[in-house]
Amino acid sequence: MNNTVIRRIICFFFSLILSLSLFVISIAVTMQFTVVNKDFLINQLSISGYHVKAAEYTRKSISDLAFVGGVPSDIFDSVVTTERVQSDIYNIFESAYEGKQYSIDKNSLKSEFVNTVDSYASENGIEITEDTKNNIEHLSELCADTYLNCINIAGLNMVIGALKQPISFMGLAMGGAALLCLVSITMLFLVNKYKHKFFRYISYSLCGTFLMITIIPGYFYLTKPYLNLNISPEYIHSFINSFIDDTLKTFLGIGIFFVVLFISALFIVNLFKKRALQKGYNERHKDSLV
Amino acid sequence: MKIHFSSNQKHTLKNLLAYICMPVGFCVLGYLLIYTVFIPIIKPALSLSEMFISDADFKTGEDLTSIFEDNIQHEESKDTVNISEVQIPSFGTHYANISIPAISVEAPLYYGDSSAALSSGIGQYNGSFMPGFGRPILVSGHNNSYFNSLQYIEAGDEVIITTNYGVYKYQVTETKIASYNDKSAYDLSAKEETLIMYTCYPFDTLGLTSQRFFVYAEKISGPEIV
Repeated sequence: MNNTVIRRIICFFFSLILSLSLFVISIAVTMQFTVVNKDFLINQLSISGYHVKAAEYTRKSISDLAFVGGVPSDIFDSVVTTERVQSDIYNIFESAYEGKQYSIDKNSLKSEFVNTVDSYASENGIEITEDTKNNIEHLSELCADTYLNCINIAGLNMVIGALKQPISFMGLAMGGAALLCLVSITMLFLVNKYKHKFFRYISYSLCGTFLMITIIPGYFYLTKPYLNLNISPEYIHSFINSFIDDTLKTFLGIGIFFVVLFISALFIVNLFKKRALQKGYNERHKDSLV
Repeated sequence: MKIHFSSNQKHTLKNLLAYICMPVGFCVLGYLLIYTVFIPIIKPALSLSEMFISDADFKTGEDLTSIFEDNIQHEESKDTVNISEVQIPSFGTHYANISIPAISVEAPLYYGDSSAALSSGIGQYNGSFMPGFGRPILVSGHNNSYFNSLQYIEAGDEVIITTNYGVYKYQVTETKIASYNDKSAYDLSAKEETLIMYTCYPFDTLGLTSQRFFVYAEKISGPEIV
């Protein structure tokens, strides 16, 4: 094996290492901006209209119960307000990010439902017997349970805990990848006699990273298999969709950044190649092959 | 026809090919590496995603649909219906109409007793059987809407269920008040076709009651499903 082939293999190897390291850094950066970022998640709640839809759904579920309970369907609308639902949802998500469980006082909520029915009964001159009192208690208990079921997401703390797991080793991964990038660039610089060849390998790496960061997220973004997620109610479904959509967009955004770098590298390759040709560089001379 | 390239053209072509092959090669190698390293995570994640992602479009599960055709002429003399002629409804499907002429009840019958179904008509517990199968049919309705007049039903009254595959008539045999969790009020494993209708009891009261008003009716006519 002659020196040229060995040099090419070395260049290929370090370009690959550089490409993979840049990919790791890109993933880490994307995750910092998305899945492990509390503000991103909270922002998704607003974008997907989560609390508004959750409030509507909760009111609908509770109004069904109210109807069955013989009171007007909209009687509990003053208890289940959009502001209340929004505040509870934000507290639940914020607490989950802090590793805590946010708890809503069920008894106080239940008494609000009881008081609402009592007021309705007194306004309409309906006598409340001992039996009716128990029935109202039962209705209010179910309404409070329905509220809690609609607001809480089963396993939210576990999911957020899992999403936060990468934080512990992200710093190490980014540091390691940055070091490998530095080593690869140095090696490519040292092995290549001509600057345009050095930048050519850099451009291969940048293009490789662009492909890695774009192909799978791009495929999912275009085909959107997550639209068929069997998760209900609809507000959780649209929140998850919006969350995945924006995470994929961030990946594609970083992909665009690499395209720009790749195009810049191509310009630099041409620039240095012209300079090398002016200095007498012969492309097909065997000493100039690397 | 053979295309001849000059030495310069060949070199340019090689360079161009390198710009395609090298990044694609990096990408393939990168993905292979990731797949190999993360295979213990990727495989369960893919299996899990198959559980949650379906080929069909997303449905909330609260949408009601209908397969009931109102204008079918049924042959009174027909004793049996082949099961291949019976379309099994999915949850939340309006598949029949129920009527009790004596107390002026006329309502759509849904397969599944979701809150949406009970708001729009009568819901059949989807763990019970459809008419014609010779097994119990358990249906429920709200006592302040479609089943409010159930309080006036009497033994001997006729209940008619009209499906796409036949008309079924039942005769009320008895009524009973039981607790909501009294499992002895119905037996879904019974080998006879009994129509069991229930609603909350007492009628016209505030709040959710713990008692249920049950109405039992035995089949008097309608084709058997074979």
